[in-house]
Amino acid sequence: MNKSEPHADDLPLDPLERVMDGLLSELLGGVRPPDLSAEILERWASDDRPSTVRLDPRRTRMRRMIVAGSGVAAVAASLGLIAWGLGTTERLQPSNTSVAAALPRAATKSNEPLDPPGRPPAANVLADPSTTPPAANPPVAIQLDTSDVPFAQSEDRPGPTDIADHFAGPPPSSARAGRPSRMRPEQIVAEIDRLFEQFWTRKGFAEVQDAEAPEFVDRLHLSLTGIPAPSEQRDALVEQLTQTGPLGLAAQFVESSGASAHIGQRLAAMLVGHAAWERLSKAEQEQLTELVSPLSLGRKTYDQFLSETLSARGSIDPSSPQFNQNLRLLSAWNSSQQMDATKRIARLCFAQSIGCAQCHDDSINGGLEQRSFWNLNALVRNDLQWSNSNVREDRTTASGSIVNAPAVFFESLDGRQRVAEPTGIAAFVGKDLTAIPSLEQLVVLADEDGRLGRAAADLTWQFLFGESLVSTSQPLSGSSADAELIAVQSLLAEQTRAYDYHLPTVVGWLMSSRVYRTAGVDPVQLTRGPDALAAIEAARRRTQAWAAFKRPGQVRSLEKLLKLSELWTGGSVSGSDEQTLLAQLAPPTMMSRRPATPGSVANSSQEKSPEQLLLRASFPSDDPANLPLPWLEPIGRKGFESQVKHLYAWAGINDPSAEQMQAAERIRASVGGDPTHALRILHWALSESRLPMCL
Amino acid sequence: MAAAVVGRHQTGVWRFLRALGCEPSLADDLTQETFLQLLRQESFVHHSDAATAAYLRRTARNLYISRHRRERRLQVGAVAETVEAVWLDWTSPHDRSDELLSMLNECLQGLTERARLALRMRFKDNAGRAAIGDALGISEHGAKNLMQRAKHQLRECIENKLKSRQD
Repeated sequence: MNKSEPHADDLPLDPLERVMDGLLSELLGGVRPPDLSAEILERWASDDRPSTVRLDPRRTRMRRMIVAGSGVAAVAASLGLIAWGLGTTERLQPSNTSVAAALPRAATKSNEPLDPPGRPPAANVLADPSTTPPAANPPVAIQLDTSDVPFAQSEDRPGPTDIADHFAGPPPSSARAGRPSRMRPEQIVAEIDRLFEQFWTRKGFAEVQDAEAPEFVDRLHLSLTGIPAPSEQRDALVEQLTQTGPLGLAAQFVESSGASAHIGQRLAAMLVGHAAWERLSKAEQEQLTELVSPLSLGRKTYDQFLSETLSARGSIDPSSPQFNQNLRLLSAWNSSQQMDATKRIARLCFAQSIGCAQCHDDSINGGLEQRSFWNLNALVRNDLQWSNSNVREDRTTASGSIVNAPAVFFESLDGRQRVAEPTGIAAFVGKDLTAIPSLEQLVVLADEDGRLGRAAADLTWQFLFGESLVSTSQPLSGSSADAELIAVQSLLAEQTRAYDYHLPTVVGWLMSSRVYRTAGVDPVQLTRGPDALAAIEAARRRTQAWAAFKRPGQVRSLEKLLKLSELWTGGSVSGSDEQTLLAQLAPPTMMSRRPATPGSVANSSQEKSPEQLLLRASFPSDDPANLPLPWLEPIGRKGFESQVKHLYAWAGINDPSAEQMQAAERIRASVGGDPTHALRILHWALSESRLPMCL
Repeated sequence: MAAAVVGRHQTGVWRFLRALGCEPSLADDLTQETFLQLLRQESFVHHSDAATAAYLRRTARNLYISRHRRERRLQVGAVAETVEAVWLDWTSPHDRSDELLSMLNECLQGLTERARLALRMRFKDNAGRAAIGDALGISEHGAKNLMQRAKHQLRECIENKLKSRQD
């Protein structure tokens, strides 16, 4: 330790004190700032590293051309896409009789050469300050970056030519500057597996077993078609699984129009957001489903789709000559003051939940400030303007910037009226802008910042597993995000970007990974010893309930959540066998489970209603899985109703209905009026079903 | 031009990193990295000292956070954000950390001798609280309180000076 340096354990948490300590150590301790000019300039002179990518509007125009061209060939290409997207890693799978054996093994060290380092022109110019306007600051990674992935710098990463060996029909080859290098698919899968192994081991999941082939077949069928495999076909499908591997099997399902419709519906609900989705008419839902079904999307990648959607102009009226079906998604977001659009764009472009920041600085979701929300909102409102609610006005100039942007005001927590600044979106793109971008340009900015990769990867993960890999609200649980899961997320984000946002490819990686292949039984329960059978049965019920909570379109009321709570504890629940089966077959969510606390039961000495006892048993207060919600304490002063609203807002429901509020009251009544316990139950219920309601 | 920018801003960046909690050697490293990131930007143009200082501060902060994350240490993002806000309050509109240091020196003269001694032992001799307490005939806890009060006093003094200059 430096002589003048304070003891490490004395590093103050108070920011003011930190500033003071830094100054005092210089003033009293003589720790003076050195002159580093020579070192810096010397390093700069010998610099050979690539520079950061800049916004290039030409790319967007190019995309338009690609999209226009692909429209003609979309239908013809769709089957090829599916076969390519889901069948590509098929050739990686050796024929074998077990699911696990049909999947990639751990990555082995390769002797292949490193990628040639990209060396863009070193045109580093510092212009004369007196003559140049303010420049856009370079993007700076604020969130997790690829350096968080320990293998990102792996020396055995293959060069682009290796990819062609494994992907006969790869995504359009990326000549885009700044794209990360592609890892081989089996390397990606192996790294995901390795990180999850670490995670499970650390969490105490001693036995994580692969699903048997019939269960895996049903799960895969369910993921892609919405129903388990028909019993009369199951044996044949198992046989096919052993021959072609999971992705070969998946390709068959997706080729059916039913699967395309199912995927389209789920994807549409995720893109629109479930709250907005619920508001749509059935016809509107069907139109959106059709718009984003795999058969319609063809070879469109995620960024292409977003660009095309956000740049769409014209009318949503099919009888109008200006009709543009791509406006349907924007129209679904077309709520008052574009709130939904703002939130959805933040989610879909930047993988960020921003609902809380509408009302206050959000210390939970990445420390987002309220003004950041409103700055983005101002940008959205400036560009996404409708005339007579049917026609989207074109407000962009030839250069793509927005003109005549009206001011957007918001009230900050101190009660002051403030003006939002549509260029002040550094919290999202890593830099403040000098000109107001179009929504379409946001996609490019998000790509450059790396957040688009994360958003696309998150979307894919949620499609398969029904919940986020790393919740932005994870600090709610009182602990920071798990390092292994963050690393998986970073890897997926980076490689999704490397593979040009081709989501079927990402689906392929995930379906090949162990987290998708694991059996539906909670492995923790298997380690409980003599009463293993009962534990397995309990675990099965827990899995059913857990999965049922996640299923979009099923969980819409707290009443239903309460019934599912009964299922959790083995109580009766109404519903067909088919529903139970559907729930049972959903992919397990191992990342979220926690070892249960043995013996955590209700206090039987007090007289309680059966419902109360049931809830107490379901959510014992000393179970760490029932979150203490420390952040609820400060807002608790505002009363139960306020806390409930915050929980709903956290779950993505910013404006809970009277029925939902009543449901919360009913929960409180069922636990003897204990607000804390009621909130824990509500939190549990909402967190288990968070994804469908959030998106 | 590059040399001029480095020369003008390196002290402010280094002090800001120290305020974030960097040890001197880490502050040296990150200061270099911060400027290299700026210099590598093809598109970067120097508009004003304030704008460049803000950009450098943001870059330094992000490098600091990334370093912590790589080392799997505590999350520091929120603290760094607040430190930056305080730093900005105290040194805006442009980097005037020299002036800040000068104010602090003046404010130190307003402390009691015991408080000054405690801070000197702490920051000059790197003495622990126990040693400071022994020297002053108070407990370790008492030494901690004494220094905290002194720093609080210094903070108020600086803020008063800043306010009076604004007025």
